[in-house]
Formats: sequence, structure tokens, C-alpha cells
Amino acid sequence: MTGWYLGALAFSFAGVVTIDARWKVALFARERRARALTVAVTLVGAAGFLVWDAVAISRGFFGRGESRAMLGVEVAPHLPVEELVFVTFLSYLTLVVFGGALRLLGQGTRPTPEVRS
Amino acid sequence: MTYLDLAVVALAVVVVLHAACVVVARRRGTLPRRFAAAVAVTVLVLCVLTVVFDSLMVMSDLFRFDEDRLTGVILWRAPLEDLAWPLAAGLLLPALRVALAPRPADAAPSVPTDRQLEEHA
Repeated sequence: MTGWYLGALAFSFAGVVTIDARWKVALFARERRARALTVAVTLVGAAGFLVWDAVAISRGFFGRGESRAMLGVEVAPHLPVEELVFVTFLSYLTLVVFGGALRLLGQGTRPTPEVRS
Repeated sequence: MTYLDLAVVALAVVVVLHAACVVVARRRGTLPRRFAAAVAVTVLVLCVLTVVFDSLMVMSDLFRFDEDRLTGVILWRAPLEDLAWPLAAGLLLPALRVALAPRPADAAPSVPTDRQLEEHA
């Protein structure tokens, strides 16, 4: 079915947003500055990956496949519009995983034993 | 130039930026105590996800590689070089996040940092 890749990306994005909304580690953090930072760092990451993509495509390391899962819309030669969503998703996912890892490793508001000693 | 060369160059830039961000965060007192461990967990999780989903994407023919310019090391269906992406994301983005984080004094619920621990000791 045409376009299911974008659908899969949207589904994954929504899943990570749901996790973030539940545990408030990135875009849903309590401090406003942390929320703004999530947006800014995600955009920096997405831009960086697009540069990486552009260099790799211009050197011919990889190119677009023929799958009908893509809409077929290119924002640049061999760069499907889905890639913009993918690099944004990857960057946001990174911040959510990192925020979750910090939380699990004991970075919460509760002081760790080492702090108290 | 191969795809691996590009990955090495990109990772070199990322490692330098990562180190700079850590220095900045430490000076500002915004480096979380378990930062390195959290980064390691992040990189590991992203690498596993990359092998799984990159392989599914390759199998779906979303993109094609010039196989003559790959190392030829394939993890399931994903080329080894593609692990540079999760490695770069996991090293750079959390580092930027903590380097630019509000100082503990600015934020209401503070998080223990290296500087706070030093002051406490």
C-alpha cells in the first residue's frame, strides 16, 4: 500500500510521544526550559542527520529504493519526504531514551545514598 | 571515499562536540551524575533498534546501498556502517541537552550534579 512507511513513522512517533507524556522525560518535562531544549536539540540533530544524508547521497553511497511504501515525493534527489520525519523521530527518540535512562539510573528528585553520606 | 570513511569523519566531529559539551556542562554544574552510564544505555538501545528497523527498512526496499563501497559486514540486513547513526545520536544529543540545561539554581526540582557533590564533600 502506498505511503505505509510514513504511517509506520507516525505510529512510532505517536508511541514515543505517549511514553514521554506518561513519564515526562523530554517534550513533557516539568520545566519549561527543558521542554524548549528538547525541541531545539531535536532540530539540531535532525539537521545534522540531513547533512550526513546529503553527503552520502551525493557520493552515491545509498539512494532511494523502489518500495511503494513511500509516497514518492522527494525533497531533494534520492531524499524522500519521509526522511525528514525519520531524522526528527530518531533525534527525539534519542532524547526520550536518554531521559528515561537517567530516570532509571536514579537521577530523580530523590537523593542517592552517595549524596547523603 | 567509502561510506565507512564518511561515518568515521562524522563520528570524529561528534566525539569532539560531545567532549566540549561535557566540559561545558561540568563547568555549569548541569552534568548529571550518571551521565556516562545513561549515554551508554542510550547508545545500546538505539543500536539494537537500528539493527532491527534498519534491516526491516532495507528488506522493504526503502533505500539501497552501493554494496561496492560498504565494508560488507552486515548485521541481519543492515550494514555495519549504519550503526554510526545511533552512535552519533546517542553521543551528541544528550551531551547538547545537558550542556544547555538550566543551572540547578534556576530549576525548581534540582538534580544532583558533580558540582553539587563536590560542594557537599
